[in-house]
Amino acid sequence: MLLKEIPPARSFLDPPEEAREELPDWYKSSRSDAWMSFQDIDWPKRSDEAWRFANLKKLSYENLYDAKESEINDAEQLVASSLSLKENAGQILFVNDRVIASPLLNEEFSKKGVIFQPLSQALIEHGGLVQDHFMTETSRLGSAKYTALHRARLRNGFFFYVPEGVSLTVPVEVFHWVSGNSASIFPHSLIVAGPGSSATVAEYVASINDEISFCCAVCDIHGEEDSQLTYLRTQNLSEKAQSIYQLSSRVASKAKLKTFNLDLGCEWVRNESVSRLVGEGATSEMLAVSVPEKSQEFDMRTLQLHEQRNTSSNLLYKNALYDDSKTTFAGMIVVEDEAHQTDAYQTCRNLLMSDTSEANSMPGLEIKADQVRCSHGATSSPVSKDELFYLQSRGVKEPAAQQLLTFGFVKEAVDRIGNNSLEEVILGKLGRRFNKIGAR
Amino acid sequence: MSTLEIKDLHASVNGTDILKGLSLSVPKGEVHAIMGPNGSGKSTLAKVMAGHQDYEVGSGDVLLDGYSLLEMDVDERARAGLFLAFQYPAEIPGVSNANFLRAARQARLPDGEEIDAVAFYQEMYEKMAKLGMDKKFTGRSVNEGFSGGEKKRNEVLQMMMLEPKYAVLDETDSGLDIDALKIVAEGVNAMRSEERGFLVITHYQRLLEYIVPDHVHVLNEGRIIRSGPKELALELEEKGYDWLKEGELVKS
Repeated sequence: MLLKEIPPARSFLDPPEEAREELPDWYKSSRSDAWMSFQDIDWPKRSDEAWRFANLKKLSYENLYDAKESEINDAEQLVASSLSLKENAGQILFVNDRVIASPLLNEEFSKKGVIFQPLSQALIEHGGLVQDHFMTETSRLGSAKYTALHRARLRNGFFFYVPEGVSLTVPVEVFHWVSGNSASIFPHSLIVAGPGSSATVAEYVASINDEISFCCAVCDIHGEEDSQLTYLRTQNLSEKAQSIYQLSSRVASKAKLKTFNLDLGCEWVRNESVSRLVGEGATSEMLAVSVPEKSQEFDMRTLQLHEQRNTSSNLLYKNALYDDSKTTFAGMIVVEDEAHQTDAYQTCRNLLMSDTSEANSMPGLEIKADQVRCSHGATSSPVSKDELFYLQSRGVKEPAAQQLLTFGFVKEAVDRIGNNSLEEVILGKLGRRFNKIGAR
Repeated sequence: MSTLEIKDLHASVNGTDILKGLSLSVPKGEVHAIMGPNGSGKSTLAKVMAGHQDYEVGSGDVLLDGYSLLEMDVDERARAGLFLAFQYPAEIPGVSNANFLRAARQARLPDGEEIDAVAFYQEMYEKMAKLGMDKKFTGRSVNEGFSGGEKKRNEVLQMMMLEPKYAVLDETDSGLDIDALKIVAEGVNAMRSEERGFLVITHYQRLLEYIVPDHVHVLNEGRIIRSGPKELALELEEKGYDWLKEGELVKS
């Protein structure tokens, strides 16, 4: 455990627990500084440009507490139900930000210098390496308050480091479970792909029970020269949960990064994703799928930041909205002065499965360089009548036809992951989701 | 009773009358061709039969073995045994051809019964081979990025997989080169049987050289103005439609 256990429930608006003695000094002070910043920074307001369309009323902190160590009745069962891929290079399982099963990394990879550890352990064993990469990015899309909160309160997470030239042929997997009413977790993900390395990371966040909870997560990715990294995250927290998730990546020269985010759970979600292309020839592909229903609200803000020439980014977000659900997408492409010959694409497509769902899209562009190819577009529409008619004309009943078309709609983004076993995991989750909605 | 019968059908789109009292009867075991100039109502007839929502039926009926198709939803019509090969088939991104066909076959099974996947794929591959379609088409999204000819072959593949009682082919020859036309025609001919009726809609006589009809009907301004044996198609090719329009003589 990273922190001393303190028995009484502690609201996360109270000062955080003290960090353990043996943790590095830089980390302890970073933590206390963050708590000071948190208190100084104003809460976001709907009138802030970065929070336009956001329904902040859905965020309530009144009765949220730092998640306590959970009593897991059947840890083995939980471990078994966590496994998603047939094969992985390693796995770490958390419940309430505490490791519940021994972290695993195939020996083959640990011999090559790969580090895959809970952050609490990595801070002690690889303090310098963690310090060089830990939360080096500033919050750019409006959630500075939550970035500070995360830094001040985080208890655990994982550190994944792939040394120069090492290739992991199968993904590593990280599971975060949350348990207990009004529990809040602050999982941290730190991924460093060394020069010329390649790896895949799959991270899953889910609730054990149908309870109120709050997840304030930060993921930092460093793709160094010539590296190839695929990172995938699925969020399936309870329908009463709230989630704020900030993903920042730095992609170096000729490195290729692909991120994929799937949101299914939560009453309210705020995702911020920033990809900085900091070296010539860097490539970033940003993919996301969400399927909100009932009164769920998913708010997504993105930034593709081209800082060097010959860089390319390609964003594709696809949302299928049911019932009274709502999505907000605000995407920005910035091409800096020096970033000539840049390719930047941004597409957000919303499929409206009901008359009462609402999709807000705000695509944006800011180009300061020459010879740039950029496009951005957002669409919102119901299922195509022609497609529906075609399916029905072959005898497929309307509900099944709707389901097939919606599945086809989101599949376009899933297909771009480019890893069959991961695509299967995602399609499996989506299939169950659509079946559940279809069976209502 | 074993007929597809169109009775005095009137239909309009956006308030414009297109079909103005069309009557036609296709018994099982026969192939009927409908020819007619552009704008005569050929495609409207196909869409109305399939149940497209943009078309409004004013009066008349379409009976499939005695049951009114117009009383059924689009998918019910298909399950009752009607198949329309579209002139412009829709593209469906993200839905593979195999999943599409599987859903269509699944819809014909009673609730709770599952399709035999192995047998299904085997049958599909056999039928694709007959149409000269590569196996890779099963994994591709329905009609997405298909050439005109590939789309038409895909329509015929669906017909072969769904084995309808009555098939309506709407301008299946358009966009096909001669080799593709022969393959598609062979596929249709292989399905001709005493248990199945065909209504082949075409603008040109060319298709009818390969799918030889039992009867030819000429459609003009929403009505059949002439019916006759297969030779009528050749006569039309030679003299054009104006020859008939002037007289507007209905002969059956």
